[in-house]
Formats: sequence, structure tokens, C-alpha cells
Amino acid sequence: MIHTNIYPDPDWIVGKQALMNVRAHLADGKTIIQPSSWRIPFQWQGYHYQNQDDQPYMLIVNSGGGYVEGDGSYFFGNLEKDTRTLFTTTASGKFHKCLNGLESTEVVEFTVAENALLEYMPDEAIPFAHSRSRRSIRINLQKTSRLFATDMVSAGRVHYGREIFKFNSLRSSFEVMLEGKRFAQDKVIVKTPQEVADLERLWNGARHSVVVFAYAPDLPQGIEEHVRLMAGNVSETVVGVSRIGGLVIVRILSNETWQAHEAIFKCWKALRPSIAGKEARPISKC
Amino acid sequence: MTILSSPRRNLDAQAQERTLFLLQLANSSFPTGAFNHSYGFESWFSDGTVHDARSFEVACRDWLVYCLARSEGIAVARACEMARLGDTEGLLDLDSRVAALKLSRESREASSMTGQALLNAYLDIFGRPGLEHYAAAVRDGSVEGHHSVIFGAICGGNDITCTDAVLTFLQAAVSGLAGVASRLIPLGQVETQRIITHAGLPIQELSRTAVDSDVDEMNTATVSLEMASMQHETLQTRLCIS
Repeated sequence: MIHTNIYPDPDWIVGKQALMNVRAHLADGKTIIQPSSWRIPFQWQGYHYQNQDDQPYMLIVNSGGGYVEGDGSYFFGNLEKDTRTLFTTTASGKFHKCLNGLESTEVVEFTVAENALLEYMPDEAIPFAHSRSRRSIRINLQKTSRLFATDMVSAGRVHYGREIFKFNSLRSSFEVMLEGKRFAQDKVIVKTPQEVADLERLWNGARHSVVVFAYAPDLPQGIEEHVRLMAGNVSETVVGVSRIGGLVIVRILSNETWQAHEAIFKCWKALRPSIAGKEARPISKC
Repeated sequence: MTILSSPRRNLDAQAQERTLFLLQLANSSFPTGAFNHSYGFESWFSDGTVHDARSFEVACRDWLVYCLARSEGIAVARACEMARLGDTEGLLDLDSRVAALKLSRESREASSMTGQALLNAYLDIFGRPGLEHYAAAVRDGSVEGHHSVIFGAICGGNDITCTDAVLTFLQAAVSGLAGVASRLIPLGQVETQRIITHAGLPIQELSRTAVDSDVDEMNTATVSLEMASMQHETLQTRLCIS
């Protein structure tokens, strides 16, 4: 796989548009992550081997203050053949109010080569009242790639003045491509206050919505039932599990953030041995 | 009595032929098997979430507005246009977009099952040219052959306007689901027809929006219905395929 950098748009304002390109490759039997370019507010802060093995964990330093109107972040990861990586974030992605009609943009794209493993488990995206957010997460897989990836969107700052489904618009796509072909996509577009408000009914009153995509060419038969049993016993949480070929898809609706995180962890617990060949353990972030 | 001139008579005859064709294509007796699919609603009928005319009408309206129109409605419109332009590559790409948005196995299979049945029946019954490449791609498994794309492509290939194609597709889908509901929950014939009638105005508005929308606008927001469709896979007693 040829590593190609994505370069910043010359019109970007420094500090408003974050960009980072990373490349993962093997060195002495371990996966190494190298930043090939970055632009603030993204900062390179290295990675660590939480399990003392070959798999680095990298915390993408998403903007701690969140996205204000017109902000954009662009993260691209090229994961070479046989590498094993885990990416998460330092905190939730906060999308602040956009009162002048501009959007805030988050773009994440991974390209995962043959026999490479990607575990991508970012914190939730929180669209605040009056925010306008545009999110795109795309993961490009090969047939022999392995994946556990999550995307969680909250209804807003749900414990802050009942700021629930008060954002102005949301365009969010979480997509898996397999050998260049579209395989699965969770995509929602809501453009008006009525459409945003209707999400409460469409989420059956829940405050947090999660999608999990887990892929391996050799996932055991019936593992989706195992996921259903594991993740389905979290309080105030509803889980739906399906499987299309080598892809297990899990949808989770929860009332509280911790409940959604717990359900995600249980999915990971059920799937990780088959995907990564090891047990799920809580990720240390500090 | 006015005797129509010959060109006018021909135009009227062509318009009537198109209307008859569209009515036949969208009729529940056309062999697609669509009447066996509940698209996840059977789980809601089973657990009582949807149990009467009122709860069904709200859920059906959400499905129409937040799932059907903004994904398959747009697909019908774009497929109709692509078929007119002979854009087979566009149709194949569109088919993969429709597939990807269906995250529940049963919903995806239902859509491709009815789509392939529609395509086969159309080719058998009408034997008209224009969809050979797409049909070949469906046969060799390169694409799944989704109902909305095939319906739109057939309409485009038969001079049906894209607005009429979307309008008919959405109306037939709502009517089909209402028919399923009337078999599974206490819903009288009059109530069922009233629900279909109430959907008429939104269907008109949604059809216009779909015709004006790009493929990148395709999306679905009916999260809990999709979960119901996933749960349908393990439902103990099932009368519908999906």
C-alpha cells in the first residue's frame, strides 16, 4: 500500500482546521505509528502499548474545547499490511452553537490493508444546542482486514438544562467500504428543528445512539447471538444485532452515557477474541 | 361529441398506456412478494409498540418520512433518470448505496428479494429491452438488485416521469405495509384506507423533494425501527419474511 498524505487546503485558517495524517507499519514485529503531517489544533503526542504487546493505542487529541462554528478536523490513517492498531479520543467531540449558518466539520478516514487490524473507539459526539455539524467517518477495508469500530452520537448536553435534541442540523455518516465497494453506512441527515425534534421519537426516547461495525473474514457462526446476549443486559439500553456476511452490525440506544459505553464494551468483549485474538480490557486514557 | 384528431388520440393512448403500465407494475398482485414483508414492523406488532390504528399511523408516517422517502424515494428518482440516460454504471453505484444503508440483514434481503422478483417478472411479462447490463450484474452477483433501483429504472425505461415513479413507489409501499398491518393488528378496512389516504399529501411533498435530491442526500433516521428489524431475526413467531 502506498502511503499518501492528504494536504491542507491553502484557504484554511490556522487554528480553525486541524489535519493529521498517520501511517502504521511494522518494525521488529511491532506496529509503529508515524505522523507524516499535522496541523494544529491536532497535536502529535505519540502512542503507547497498553497491553505490552505489538499493538499501539493512539489517542487522537481531538480539540478539548470542541468545534466552534466553521471549525474542521481531518484525520487520515493508513494502516499497512499486518499492522494492529487501536485509536480512540481523549474526550467527547463537542459541537458548539453555530449562529451564523456555518457548519462544524469532522472527517475521519482509515485505510486498512490486508491482514491489518483496526480498532476505532472514539468518545461520543455531542451536538450542543444550535450547533450545525457535519461528520464523516469512513473505513476502507480489504477482504482480510479486521475491524471493530464504533460511532456514538448523543442528543446533546442531556444533563445541562435538558438540552436534548436542540441542535440546528446534523449530517452524520459512518461508513465501511470493502475492497472499494460500499458495504454498510449509517447515515442521518436532519436539517430542520422539526426533524431534529422528531429524532427523540425515532430513538424511542433514548439519549444516546451507537453503531458498531465489526468485521473479520472468519468470524465464527452465531457470534452475533453471543453479542446480543452480552450487550443486551445493560440497564435502560436496547440492542439490535445483525450480520451481513463477515460484518456484524450492532445498534445501541441508551438513556445514559455510561450505559452506552458499557454496552459498547460488552460488544467488544464478545467480539475482540475473534477479531484481535485477545480479551477486551478497559482502555486507560490517563 | 368531439371527435379527437388522430395525433391527439395517439397522445392520449400513449398516456393511458403508461398509466396502465404503472398501475400494473405497482399493483400488489404483481409477483414481487412485497406483501410478505413488514420491514421490522412485525416486531413492534408482536411487542405491542404498535397495536392500533393510531400507533400504526404514527409509526408508518415516520417510516415514510424518515426512511422510505429519503432513501428509496431518492433512489427511485435517480434510477429513473439514469435509465433514461442509459447510465448503467450509475445504476450499479446506486444499488450499492441502497444496500449499504440497510444495516439489518432482513431489510437488505427483503429489498433485494423483491427487487429481483420485480426485475424477473418485468422481463418475463413485458420483454422490453434496456436493462440487460443491470440484469446481468444482478445475475452475476456484482449488485444485489434492490427494489427501489429496479422500479425506478423500469419506469425510466418506459417514459414514466420521475415524479410519477416516486409517487407510485411510495404509495404502493405505504399501501403494502398498511395491508400487512391490517392482517396483524386490529385494523379495519376503512381505517386502513383512511391511513393510506392521510399519507397522500406527505407522499406528494416527499416525491417532489426526492426528485430534486442528489444521491448524497440518501439517508435513514429510523433507528428504533431498524433495531426492530434486527430483533425480527430472532422473533419466536413470524408471519412475515422481514
